[in-house]
Amino acid sequence: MKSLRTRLLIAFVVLCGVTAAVVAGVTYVRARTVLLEKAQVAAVEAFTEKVARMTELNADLLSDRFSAAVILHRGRAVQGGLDPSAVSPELRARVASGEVSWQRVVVGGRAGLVMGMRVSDVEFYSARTMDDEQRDIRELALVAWLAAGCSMVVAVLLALLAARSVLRPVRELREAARRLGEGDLTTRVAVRGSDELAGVAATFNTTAEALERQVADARRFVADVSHELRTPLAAMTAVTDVLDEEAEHLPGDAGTAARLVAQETRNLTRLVDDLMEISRFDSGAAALAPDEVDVAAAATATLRLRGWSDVVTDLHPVTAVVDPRRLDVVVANLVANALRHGGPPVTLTVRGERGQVVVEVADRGPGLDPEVLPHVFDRFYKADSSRARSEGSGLGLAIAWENAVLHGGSLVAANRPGGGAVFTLRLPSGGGR
Amino acid sequence: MRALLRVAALLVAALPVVGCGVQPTEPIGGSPATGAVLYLVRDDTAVPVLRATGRPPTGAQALALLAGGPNAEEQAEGLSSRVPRTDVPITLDGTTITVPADVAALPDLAVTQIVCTSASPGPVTLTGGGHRRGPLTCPL
Repeated sequence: MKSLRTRLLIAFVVLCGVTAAVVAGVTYVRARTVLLEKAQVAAVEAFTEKVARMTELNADLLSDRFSAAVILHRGRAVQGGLDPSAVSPELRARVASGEVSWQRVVVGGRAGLVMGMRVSDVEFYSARTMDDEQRDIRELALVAWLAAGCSMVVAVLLALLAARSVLRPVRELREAARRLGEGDLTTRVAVRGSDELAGVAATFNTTAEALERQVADARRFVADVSHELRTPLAAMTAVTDVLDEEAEHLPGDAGTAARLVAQETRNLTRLVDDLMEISRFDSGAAALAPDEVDVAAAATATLRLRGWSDVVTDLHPVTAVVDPRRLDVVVANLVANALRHGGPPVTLTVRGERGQVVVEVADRGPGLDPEVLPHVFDRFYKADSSRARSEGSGLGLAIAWENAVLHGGSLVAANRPGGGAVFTLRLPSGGGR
Repeated sequence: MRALLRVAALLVAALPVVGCGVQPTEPIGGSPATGAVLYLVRDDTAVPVLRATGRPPTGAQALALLAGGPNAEEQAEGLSSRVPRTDVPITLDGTTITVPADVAALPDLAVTQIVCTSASPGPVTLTGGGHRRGPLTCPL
């Protein structure tokens, strides 16, 4: 498939080529005909005039520097330097009919005009060169080619210009569509003029606007639902905490059920908390509360608080300006994910690196499937689709990623060469944006 | 696009038909040639002489002019005629030429003048003054 630019170029050049060929060609042919006919008529007139002025037969009167003549009396050449075989039999037949006749001939690339007439039993023939006319016609052809060539160059320039004016909005639209596809719903394109491309741009903007509104509505709905769930959940948690404490005193199935309800309520609470957290990110309400933090100490605190004692740590003291609450969330989510899905031992590394603080969480599990890798930070993404439910909310890694981005840092998932997954968090140590 | 290319190809193919430079032609005929060829005498021989007439050449016309003798220009060039000057024209009828004089008494040169001027494709017979000469052909 050829590009739009190539197609425009071809169309322009062909169109211009055809036009130039027709115009230049017709002009050339017409001018050539006129030129030759004028020269022929003049030559024939001069020839008949010379014959009319002759009394005694004298071929010299018909010849000059550019022409040679022969006079035939009863078919025999009697005078003149022109070889009678230079006169074609067709021309002789024509002359025999009584008309003053002429024929253009080309011998060895040189054009000439052979004229003849017959009076009674005397035939006169004169041949003259058409070198001048030939040269003029060659010049004519040269001019025609030049004109055609110049118009071709102009056509190419015009085509490139036209292609640019068409392709620029197309390129902008493509770029905008790509950004929209990557999730930047605020993308709009400039609408220029009122042509079809401007119409497409306007439609694109309308669509993007509608999409943005719908997504915002959906997010607000989630935020509202989460918020509405919090109050009843708080009450439920209070009740299930009591139930949980009393579970061991309850007989058989009732105890199991109480524990189950308590556990599920805790899970639900975490899910709602995570949903609200992510809603804040989506609505842009998430704000940093930066503070100077010893990241190694903060990480140790996170592990201690969660009771994760079997995590291998390699902590170098690094100070960075980060939001301590969010750092805690990120580290906790990454370690929880490693403990849940990876294999032991889980390693937590903190180190400084040229203006960045690097937090690595690695495990020795099976690692991440290459197909899973690009979706690891997607919301509610299940690496193992057969496992319908996991202990996590399904939002942990997404929240960790959002937090990293909020800090102006990055969070990358990869597989370790020796097996197992590694999540690398990089935050600017000088504070976020 | 494809149609456009096809048109272009057609035009390119048509180029050699028109051709470049000067092309040879078939013989082209113009107006009929005019004038007459008379046979006049120079140094005791009959020579063809062109006379502008403004009309296509015919034997009868040439014979009529011959009877009138050489004009001033021809005389100035030293041409003469042995055919007797008469006001009655020499006429041509098929292969018979009627001369308003006794053909038996005509000099041979005059007879040659008449026969050749008639430009007849075949032999002709001269009559006049009750005599006939011929059939004769132009010896030139």
